[in-house]
Amino acid sequence: MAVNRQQQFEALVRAHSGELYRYAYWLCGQDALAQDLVQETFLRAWRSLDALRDDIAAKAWLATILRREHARLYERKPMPTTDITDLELSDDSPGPEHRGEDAVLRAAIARLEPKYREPLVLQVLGGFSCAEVAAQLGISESAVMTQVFRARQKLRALLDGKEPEAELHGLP
Amino acid sequence: MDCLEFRRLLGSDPHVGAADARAHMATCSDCAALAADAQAFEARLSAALAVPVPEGLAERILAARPEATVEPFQPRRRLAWIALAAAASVLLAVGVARHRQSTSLRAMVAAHVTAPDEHAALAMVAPVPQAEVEQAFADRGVKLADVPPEVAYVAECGIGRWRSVHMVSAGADGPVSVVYIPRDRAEKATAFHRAGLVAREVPMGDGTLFMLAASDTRFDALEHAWRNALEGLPAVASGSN
Ligand SMILES: [Zn+2]
Repeated sequence: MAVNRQQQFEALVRAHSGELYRYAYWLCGQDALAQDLVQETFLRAWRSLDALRDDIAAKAWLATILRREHARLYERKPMPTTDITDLELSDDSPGPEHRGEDAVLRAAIARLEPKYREPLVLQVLGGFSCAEVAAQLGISESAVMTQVFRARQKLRALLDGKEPEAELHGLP
Repeated sequence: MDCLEFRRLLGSDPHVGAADARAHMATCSDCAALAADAQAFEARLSAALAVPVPEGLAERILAARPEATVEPFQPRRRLAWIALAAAASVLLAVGVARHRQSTSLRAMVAAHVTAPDEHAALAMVAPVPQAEVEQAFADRGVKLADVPPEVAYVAECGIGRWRSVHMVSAGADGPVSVVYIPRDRAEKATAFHRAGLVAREVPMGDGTLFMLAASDTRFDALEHAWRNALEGLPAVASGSN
């Protein structure tokens, strides 16, 4: 276990900074803030690197630090979800063939309330199971299942230009 | 599993993995069609969430680690702690720490103001309301005596462990990035070059003011204006005596 601390940290940054940035981005809706959040997260991670026992837990550990950091730094002025909607992503989107579609869907994701968006992002982007998302957010697994279900419903309704409620009643 | 249960499951996790869900799908063509549709949507969702990651992010994080510029040679660090323990040497130790820190702080400030997402800030020319500048400083616990003109961008940015106020001062000869770090005062004014920019670090108030630009032509004027703002000196009216 004589892994060099610096090497361990560097591996952690290279493996997880991109994904953490995306998570941060969907938390705060601003590129610069998201970068600062990731920076701050890794700074904290560096200080308590010894607390990290295995690499498998790293992703969840980092996501937790980031979410706390976001709450700590921005609780005084919570990011209104409308802020996220006039986001401009300067760079080219990864899937150029669907760029137009992505923009529509991104705007819809941005319009979701945080309580729907956050578990969805953790599930889809982070690849966490509903149970893992529940553990991270400190809510029940059934609450997570309901929220991600509702999140998808709302997104599809927004894309179809329908009210989310109409879809809900359509469920058999 | 019935259709209702299956569709609930599908909405909360479209990657149908459970054996009983798969069994239902094999016997119910309606649900199988819904599952195919849900999975197509999931692929689209996953692509939309994967916003582009800023280039060089990992490198900037690695460069910003405060310890990154400290030699990993333990005995010297321990010496610094021994020095710290001796009250008479406290100032010396702080000086040494400050020296090491300033190198990485300069790198971080330069990396921050040249980050790709700051390009938009550098292009801003319209002055921001003075109240916004005052608020940004107030949030960092600093009261301004005055607000210098030509602040075209202001943001409260975390730079490593430092909480800065990051501004862009617009001018005819190009933008100057101005970063103030409260409660961490440089020992002396220092000129340096970083990231292809001319830069100056100036102790001011209880903190440090950084200026970075393509040229240092406006540094003296900005330093004067910000000293007035941060140290509350009366503004010198030009031409009066
Ligand atoms: Zn069915």
